[in-house]
Amino acid sequence: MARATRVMRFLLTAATIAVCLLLCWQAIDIYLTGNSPDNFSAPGVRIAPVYSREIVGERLAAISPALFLYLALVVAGLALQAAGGGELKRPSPFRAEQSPTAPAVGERTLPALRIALYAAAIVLIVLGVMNGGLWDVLVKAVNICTECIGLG
Amino acid sequence: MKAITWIKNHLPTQRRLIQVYAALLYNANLKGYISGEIFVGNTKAVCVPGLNCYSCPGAVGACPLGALQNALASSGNRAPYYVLGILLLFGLTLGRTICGFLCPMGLIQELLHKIPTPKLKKGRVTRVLSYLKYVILAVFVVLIPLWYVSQHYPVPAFCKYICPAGTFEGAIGLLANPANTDKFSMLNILFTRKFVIMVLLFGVCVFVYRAFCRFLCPLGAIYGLFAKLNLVGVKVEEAKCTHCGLCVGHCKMDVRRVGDHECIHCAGCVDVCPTAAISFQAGSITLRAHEKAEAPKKRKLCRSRLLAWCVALAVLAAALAYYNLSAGASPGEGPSVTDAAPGDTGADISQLPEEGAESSAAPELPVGHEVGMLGPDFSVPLYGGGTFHLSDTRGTVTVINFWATWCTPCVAELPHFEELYRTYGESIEVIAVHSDLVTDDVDAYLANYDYTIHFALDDNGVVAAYGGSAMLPQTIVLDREGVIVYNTVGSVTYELLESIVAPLISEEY
Repeated sequence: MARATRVMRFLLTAATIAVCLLLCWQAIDIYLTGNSPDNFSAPGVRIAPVYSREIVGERLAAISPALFLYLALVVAGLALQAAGGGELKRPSPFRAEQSPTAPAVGERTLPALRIALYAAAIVLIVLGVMNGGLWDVLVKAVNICTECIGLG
Repeated sequence: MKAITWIKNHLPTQRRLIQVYAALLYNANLKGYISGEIFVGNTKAVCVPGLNCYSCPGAVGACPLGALQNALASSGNRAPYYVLGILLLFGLTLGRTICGFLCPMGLIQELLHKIPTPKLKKGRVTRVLSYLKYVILAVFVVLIPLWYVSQHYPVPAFCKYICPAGTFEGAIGLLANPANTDKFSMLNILFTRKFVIMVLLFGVCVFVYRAFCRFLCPLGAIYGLFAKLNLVGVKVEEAKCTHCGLCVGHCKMDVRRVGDHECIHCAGCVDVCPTAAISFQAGSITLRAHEKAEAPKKRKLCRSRLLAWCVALAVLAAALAYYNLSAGASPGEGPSVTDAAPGDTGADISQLPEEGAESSAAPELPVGHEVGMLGPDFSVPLYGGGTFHLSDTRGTVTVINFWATWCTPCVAELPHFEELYRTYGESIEVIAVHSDLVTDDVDAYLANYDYTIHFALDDNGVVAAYGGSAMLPQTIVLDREGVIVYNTVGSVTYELLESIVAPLISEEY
């Protein structure tokens, strides 16, 4: 069982790296192809978008066998692990270099500090609602932030 | 019997259930995944504690990190009190317990780490790397947005260049829906870069426990600042502690001490402690203690946990029903038109014709927002006074741009429209219509520039009439007859605009 687990882990390591590289390469290749000189009619004027549903669909279809294979491998690996192949687990060699307990902040000052900061938080929120900060958050959140999601 | 033991051993932990629960609650707008639209109700004014992109179709709250960057980016107009107050409240109450229990990104990373491969253990290198998130917090979340404040150019740098949650939940969540096919035209180097970063980060998470959370997440860095103050989390009873270091050795995070700024309060060390010195507490209430300590009152604890889960599930069911079944939470219930209207024009705003209605001027063409249709007529009040009537531009090529001061790509492309107008001013009309959602004084904003194009406020549903949604910028070009020849969401270049407009101007009618 230990040998099977070792082999499976090796396979999964290789497969994970391969799948990541494959996905990255597909994205980079679509970008490079979409930005080839053939895709421009004049400087700055693109004939077709870099990405399109068709192109992305084609690439996904092309690599889907690899993705399914990887998924199957993951499921098999998990099943093997659940069946008792987890004996390769080793305890972490890392040990505490210092005391595991946090140096205590003064027991009397901590609650007072907390109360003061809670009060500050509430005051800030009220001030924020009054100065329009709440509205700002709402406006940004109800509109798709194109640059946030990598579309802008 | 063997099967029952196996199931018992593989049941999800309480923490995993809470993580799944939080992810579901943050993304309760399940119908968004079907329609491909984001939720626009008022609950989006409230930040959720974990990292959850507000452009995800399911999101019902705002991302605290995105909100912080945008608040800092607009701090030239108003101080970011609200977001700072929210973060202070979350930090004081939960601190990095949020990372351990309430962050969907944390859940994704932990699930990826379950893939059985050799794992990279923590050590000195990972400990040094764990400080990288503070650098990212300082540079991408604070300094870059603040740097651009003086240029009136909002840049949420972390969201824009790094955030894998935005790429995964927002971009892929939206693009996976067939309703958003047109959004593919917006993808460019920014998406390629962010997609590669996301894939690599997820790949690393398979080998390294919570790699993003430990090394890169600025939200974790913020909550880490409250390590000594947070109310809920793991606590060590000093009197019982023998300083054996088993807890720190067992922990997969780069902690030096239980409960320090790297500790995500997962409570994994509670049962490891040989002296039962560690417990998970909310103030003075013990929520979880060592198995030995819990044994005498196990029944009582089970009862209270069951009750807590019943309440939590009721809340989730109510949220799912509200966001998915209630008409009150439909996308049309977003914030209403601002009262910050431009100069008092006293203009009589005309009603927009219904889509599909035939035009009296060109009866053969239907009115609508698609290319080849006649653009719906509208009148909007201009900033600086006066009213713009689209019908007055008949006979001239008209360029309409939908923008907003809070939209970075919109602000970035305004100079292209200005240049176009200065080049072809005699032959074209250019109008930039600001979204009805106004956060800044647009007049004051425009006073910083010497734009000569028309600026107006959409207080009459013009964006919606031209097929606009929750995504800006959008550019529409109408020919001399008022027929739409270009209508696309996304940024444009001057060259692209010129390539569309120049042939229309040279056409002879």
